[in-house]
Amino acid sequence: MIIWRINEADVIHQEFDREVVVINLASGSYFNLPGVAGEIWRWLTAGGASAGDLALQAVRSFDVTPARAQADMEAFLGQLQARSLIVDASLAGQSDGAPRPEAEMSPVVPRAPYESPRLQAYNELQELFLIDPVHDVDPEVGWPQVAVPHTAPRPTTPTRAVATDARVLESVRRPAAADVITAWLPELAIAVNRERGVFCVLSGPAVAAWRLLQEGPVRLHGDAVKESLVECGLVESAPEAAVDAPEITAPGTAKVDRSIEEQIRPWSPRVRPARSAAGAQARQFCERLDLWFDAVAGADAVDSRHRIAGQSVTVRTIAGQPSGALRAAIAHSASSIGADQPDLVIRAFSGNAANASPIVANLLLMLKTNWEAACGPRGEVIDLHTDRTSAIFTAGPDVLSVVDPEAGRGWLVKLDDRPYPYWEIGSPFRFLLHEYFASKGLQFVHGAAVGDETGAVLLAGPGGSGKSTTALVCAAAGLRYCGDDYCLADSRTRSIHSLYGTAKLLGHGDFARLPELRGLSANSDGFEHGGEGKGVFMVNEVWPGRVVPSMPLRAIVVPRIDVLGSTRWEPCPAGEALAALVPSTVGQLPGASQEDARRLEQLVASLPSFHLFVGSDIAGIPTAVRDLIAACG
Amino acid sequence: MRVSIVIPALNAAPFISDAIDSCLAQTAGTFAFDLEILVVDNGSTDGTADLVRRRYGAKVVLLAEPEPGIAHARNTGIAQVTGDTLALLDADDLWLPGKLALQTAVLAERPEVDLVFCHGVEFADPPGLAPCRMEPRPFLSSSALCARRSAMDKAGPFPPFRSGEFIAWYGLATARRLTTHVVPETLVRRRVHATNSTRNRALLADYPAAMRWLIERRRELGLETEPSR
Repeated sequence: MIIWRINEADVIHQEFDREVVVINLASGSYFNLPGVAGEIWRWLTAGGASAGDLALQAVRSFDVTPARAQADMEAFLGQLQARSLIVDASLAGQSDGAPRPEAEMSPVVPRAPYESPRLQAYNELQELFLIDPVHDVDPEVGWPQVAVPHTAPRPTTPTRAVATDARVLESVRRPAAADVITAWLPELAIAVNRERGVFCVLSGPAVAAWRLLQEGPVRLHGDAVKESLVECGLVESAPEAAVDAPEITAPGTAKVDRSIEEQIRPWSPRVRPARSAAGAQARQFCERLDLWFDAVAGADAVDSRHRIAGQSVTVRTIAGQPSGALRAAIAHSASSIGADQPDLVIRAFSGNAANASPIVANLLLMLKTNWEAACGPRGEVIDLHTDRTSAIFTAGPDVLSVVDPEAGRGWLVKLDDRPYPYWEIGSPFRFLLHEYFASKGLQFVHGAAVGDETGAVLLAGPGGSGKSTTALVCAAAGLRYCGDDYCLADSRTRSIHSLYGTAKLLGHGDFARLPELRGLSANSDGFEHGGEGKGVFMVNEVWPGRVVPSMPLRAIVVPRIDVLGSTRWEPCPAGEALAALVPSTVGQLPGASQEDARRLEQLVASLPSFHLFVGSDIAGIPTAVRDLIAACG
Repeated sequence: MRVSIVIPALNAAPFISDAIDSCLAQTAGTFAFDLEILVVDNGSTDGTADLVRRRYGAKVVLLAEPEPGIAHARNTGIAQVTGDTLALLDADDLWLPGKLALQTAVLAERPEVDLVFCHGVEFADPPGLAPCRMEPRPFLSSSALCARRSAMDKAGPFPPFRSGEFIAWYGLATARRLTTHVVPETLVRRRVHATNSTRNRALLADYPAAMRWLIERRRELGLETEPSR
């Protein structure tokens, strides 16, 4: 006996004057259930019911024989099931003992006239229902539900480690199109596939295999390694190349990691554009941006001068515009040195694209209406992606960043007059500064840095690893602070430079540890002002003088939350530091290239690496960090 | 030819300039129509009306419809248009350049066609944060519609439901034998964000009522059997 119940996941329904209208959102069909049919539907809504239950109910309510009622119920339930309006309660995860309508003890008097239940089905508006995006929303998960990226299969677990199986030999090659950056250590390689937001940590002979794969097909023993590489989109089978390809015989390991997929996956399914030779168009575009800035600014241009990693940077904004708020994050680096000859000038302003010159206006309009057509996977603006200039467009906030590192010029243009979102307030000019400092051999790192008068540690790891907490608790305890999200590292001099004197907190709960910050967030879209964003805090406003421009770097530290243990540190393999730095840095910076991976390799190779286990004794963190720095001095 | 665009807006300040700019951009290149843009403020509390007034001035006719509901706002706008052709745009969606030029050309060349739709795509705002379908597909939805004014009169006003109002309206329009044409070009981009009304399952409560309304109208036209009691 099957107990049926309404397929609530896909169906919405309502009763109107003894008729019931039912809509199947998954198929886009709708139905009318008049009279007896509507009554049966009502009984089904009370819980689960079998054909027999419903026939019994029908005989008590309507003028119908038991035999006809039973036959009609079975036929009608069949129709409902065929259209997925009802489901077998036992298959739908509900036990057989689902609540069933209480059979009424005495017949309804007088019994109503009976007609066989009819289901009127309508399909003519299916297309209209189906273009409605509502069916994507899982009622269990609710909104917003994060999209599954185009190319990647749905991850089942965040990470998966596999050992190799040496029995299988197969030829594979690296697909030409894959957007991959690899960082190497002697015994380890980290290959980041930015097309899929996934990375693979290779060790043992798998490293040599991956190195050979840069040149051409490889014959690979061990189907587990191959499977991992295929899963990451790093290789594909190449059966035709089996004969003369080099062969890797010993096993190794390949560990797939999807843990930061949300941060590094593409925004659109485009292929990353190749850089073209800078033509007149890119040059003219930059010139017109300057003219446009001058036209918008009139006499209201405001300059602030900064010294960042030894370079003099001038930020030019317009009085009264939201871009003024971007200066707070770099206020700690304000300096009058080098004011006459800035190395880099950034013009940051808001403008209505309609008022720009046609060459600028055309591109901006394209970006506003259809950025995917004009940009690469992370908003790289194809027309400005040249050997001289780079540009990205962030749709949503509608911010265009353009940089010409060689000329020392950058532009940040907001195409509306709304305020900047918290991530721009907290880490402004990220794209420009990354490209500019890369041209000077300095490396943007996704990490925090704190230290004392003798040196500093670089804290690396994804959000939630304890990186920001550690940095802020150290700042609160009097340690020096270089930033909690992005810093500039120089492996040649083993030093760390501050970019942003900001800190970000997720919510009110963070004030328990850091009460000094309460009420001081600088951004209007943060949780302190009723928004949904993080709160951005200017560390020097909370603790004056705490943010320093540069510190000697002593170690790379990978924090791990360990609430049950005590706060302690211990050496860790360099590969752990590399894995904590490379994927999140090259994945989040659209302008990152193989060069970034190379500079990060050098940084990791030049410093010792440690795990810092962050325990429940928060007060022990600054002491542990000081001890660690002293041990490395 | 004069095309009147009706944009109902409820707390659309973050999006509406994009929508209006995409309307204004329709007159780029060769075109044979002039534009009338009507924004119907449906009780916004986020300064939508001020923003439109400040930014667009006389380029946009700003109306107010205090009765809550996108159908009321659309009907109020449609009642005020002066064009012989009408297009609808939701405040959070965008048109791509050339939409009106293409659709009005169809109306000019094919007198038997009453309603012209187009293909559309979805985009997430902010990028990556919402599930959306990036493959172009036929969009039988309000932002894709360009119609003769006479056809809109024949189809009648939008029924006053919070959701399903366009589907029910279109169902009645076809019952009244209006002819639809869908152009194959992708001309509309639907913004998918956390506040899209159709994403909110609670608001779907009106879908059955909208379909019930359609069934009753069809009964009046003799296209449905009467329910037996």
